Amino acid sequence: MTEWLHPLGYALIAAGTGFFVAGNLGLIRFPDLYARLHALTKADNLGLGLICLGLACQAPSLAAAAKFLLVWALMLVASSIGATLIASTALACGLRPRQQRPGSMEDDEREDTP
Amino acid sequence: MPGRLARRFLPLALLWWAISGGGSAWAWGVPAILIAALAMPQSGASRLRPLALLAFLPVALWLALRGGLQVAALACRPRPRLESRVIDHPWHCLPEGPGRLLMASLVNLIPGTLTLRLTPDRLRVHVLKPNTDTPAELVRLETRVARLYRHGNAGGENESRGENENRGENEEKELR
Repeated sequence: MTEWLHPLGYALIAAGTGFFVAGNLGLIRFPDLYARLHALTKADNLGLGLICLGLACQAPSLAAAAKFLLVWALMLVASSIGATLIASTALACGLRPRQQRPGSMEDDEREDTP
Repeated sequence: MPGRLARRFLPLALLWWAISGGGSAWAWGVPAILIAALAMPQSGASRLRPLALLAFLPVALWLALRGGLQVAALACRPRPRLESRVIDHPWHCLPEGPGRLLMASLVNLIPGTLTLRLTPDRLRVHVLKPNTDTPAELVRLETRVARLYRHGNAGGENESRGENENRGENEEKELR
């Protein structure tokens, strides 16, 4: 009855891996710390969520599946609070977020190279 | 008091069931759960309304999904063109306390926003790609979070049930 859960699990894990790749791409490519935190908190959380969900689909028992979801829930809390702590510490240390005026796109591209 | 104990017992029992892998060790589990339920300090989470929280869960997951998709799409673009901006969100209806912390963490999930700083009168938010309804979305999220909490005295146990039902409407009045 639950055979269809296995392929579904593989699909979810594959999608989750994709989000991890995108999140880490963002970590490398985004211009400043704050934008990088966006990539880490959102894309990676979603990636982990999909992987946990996929593993839960393939878990041998309901309790094991619940454990995977618990992992995700704790990770959500930790990364969300962590991101805010890192951001507010950076702000307190005087790291200014780069703010873009709509007209100044040339600036953006020049500063892209580290 | 017994009601509060029961409210703590249930999630702890669920936790034990998940961690112990199917609940084969209740002989150890039940005493451990009881001790934890009695010794756990009063936290902000005890003022959450369980049913409202259950109703809020799909909303939060949907926001997380949208947030992740947006950032992933931005990161995969050939030239990530960000127009990051810092905006201030003044508090509308959430009182000081755990509700604000929850709101600050939820802001990290909704598309394109990141909490920079939590101060008594405002929430400073970093926006990755601003659009016109970001402030409105923050206000909507705040009313939703306020509805999750029963407000009142810090203990929260002397409140009558009827009072809680009116909370949502009161907050909306305050908002206007």
